[in-house]
Amino acid sequence: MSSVVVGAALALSAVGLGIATYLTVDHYTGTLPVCSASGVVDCAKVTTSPQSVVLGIPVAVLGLAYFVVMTALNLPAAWRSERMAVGWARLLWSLVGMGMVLYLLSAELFAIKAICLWCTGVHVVTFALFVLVLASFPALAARNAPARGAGDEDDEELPSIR
Amino acid sequence: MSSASGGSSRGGANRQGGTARTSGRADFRRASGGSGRVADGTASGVQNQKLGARAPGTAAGANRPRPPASRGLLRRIPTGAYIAGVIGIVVVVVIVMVAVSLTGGSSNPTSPSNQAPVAFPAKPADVAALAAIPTSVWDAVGTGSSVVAAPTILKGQPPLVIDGKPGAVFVGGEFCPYCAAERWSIIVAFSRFGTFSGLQETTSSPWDVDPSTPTFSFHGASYTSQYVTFKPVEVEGNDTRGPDTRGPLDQPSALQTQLWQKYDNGGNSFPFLDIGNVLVVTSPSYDPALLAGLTQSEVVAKLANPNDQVTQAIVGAANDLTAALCSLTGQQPASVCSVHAIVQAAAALHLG
Repeated sequence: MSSVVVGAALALSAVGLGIATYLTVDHYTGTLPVCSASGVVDCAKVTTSPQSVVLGIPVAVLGLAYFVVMTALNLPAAWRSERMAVGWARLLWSLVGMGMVLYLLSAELFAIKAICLWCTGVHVVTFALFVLVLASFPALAARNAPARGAGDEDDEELPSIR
Repeated sequence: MSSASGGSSRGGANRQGGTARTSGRADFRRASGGSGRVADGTASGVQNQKLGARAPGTAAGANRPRPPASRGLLRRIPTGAYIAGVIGIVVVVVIVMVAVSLTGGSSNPTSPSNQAPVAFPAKPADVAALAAIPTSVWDAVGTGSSVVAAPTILKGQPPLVIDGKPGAVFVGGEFCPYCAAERWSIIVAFSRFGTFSGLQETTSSPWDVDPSTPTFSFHGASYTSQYVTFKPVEVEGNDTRGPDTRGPLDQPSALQTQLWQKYDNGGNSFPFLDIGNVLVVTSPSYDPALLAGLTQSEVVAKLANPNDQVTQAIVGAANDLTAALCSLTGQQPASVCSVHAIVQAAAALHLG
């Protein structure tokens, strides 16, 4: 796989991991509730909203866990792996992330009616990873496809008797 | 005996041997089928045998069922097209969501709970009651630590002096529920050192968190005191027909803007209160939800009961602000600054 693709995927994962770490620390050190003087851009409103917790787990923590896994899946060793299961895991994980992004974006737009720029940064990174992983998947599958050797033909002839 | 006959005897014998060998090969061919053509692969006698024998004349794979025509069509679409399609669908979904949120209105404008807030002159009885809370209530509440967040104490900052007296500034927005909560404590505290006039009663935005929190507005109000100068400003008004439909209200002075930007993260949020560059409040001292569903008069009525959480929140936060003001006014007026609750609050905040 191209070193550019691998490098970009790892870099995006690292950026996402950094932002998710910041949001997690901010969540547990107590985000002060304030009113934004910037209109719809209101991180405090978003990160203290009821939608900031899913099934009892802070969204920030979910995001941190997501990027820990994504970073591992985008390590060079993972990209070099000839086990197709790694590629499938990377693709499916990026799909999970993209689904979560769409849910959180809808929550910001329709429920909270405010946008957090830090969250938007995570969403953009997740989308970029989704595009990268999806676009590189066919080449990865082709590289890892098993070679066709002798005896694979359906039609087989016995040697003729002279 | 002649040599000629000997030769012929030997020749005859040789011919006999050759003949014997010849008849042996012939016997073999006859034993193998007799046709004499077994090596050329044609279909007769011993022939080539194949696994899954087919009828003569059929090509390899001719027995495999043909895939449906549609499946062949899908296979002709490049993989890249599928990928571009998936990404395109995601982008379209996001664009649609953003467009709907920008153009759609989720709130019913005729619903009583979603009507634009109205501001009206504060009832004199309410304002007077806020200035007349008994000191016994102050002492009973103390700092209200169970529901009140401690303010931020600044050290080593230049004193804030306005019009020759210790100064204080407030920057807020009428829509803001956190400002709505904080104004109660501000009015109670500063009423202990001077007099407000021109206050208006209103609520925070019905389209924000902690909707319609009962409060006052400093828009058009003034404050007079011999001890301290207080300059409040409402930078933004209230929402009028939905979330984020408010407009600018009052223009902050250069001093207010400078202090707001210096002590409140670049001046990006409300509420902001600065008392003498000694105490700053950059987030609400208590949860505005405590005031949910109450009118201004109902809140005022609760302030006689020190055990009520509303009282503990408003009076507890006011005691902290009072302690800061006392530290700037030389502990004057003594009737205020010597109250046990205020002395306690000053100690808790490490105010000199």
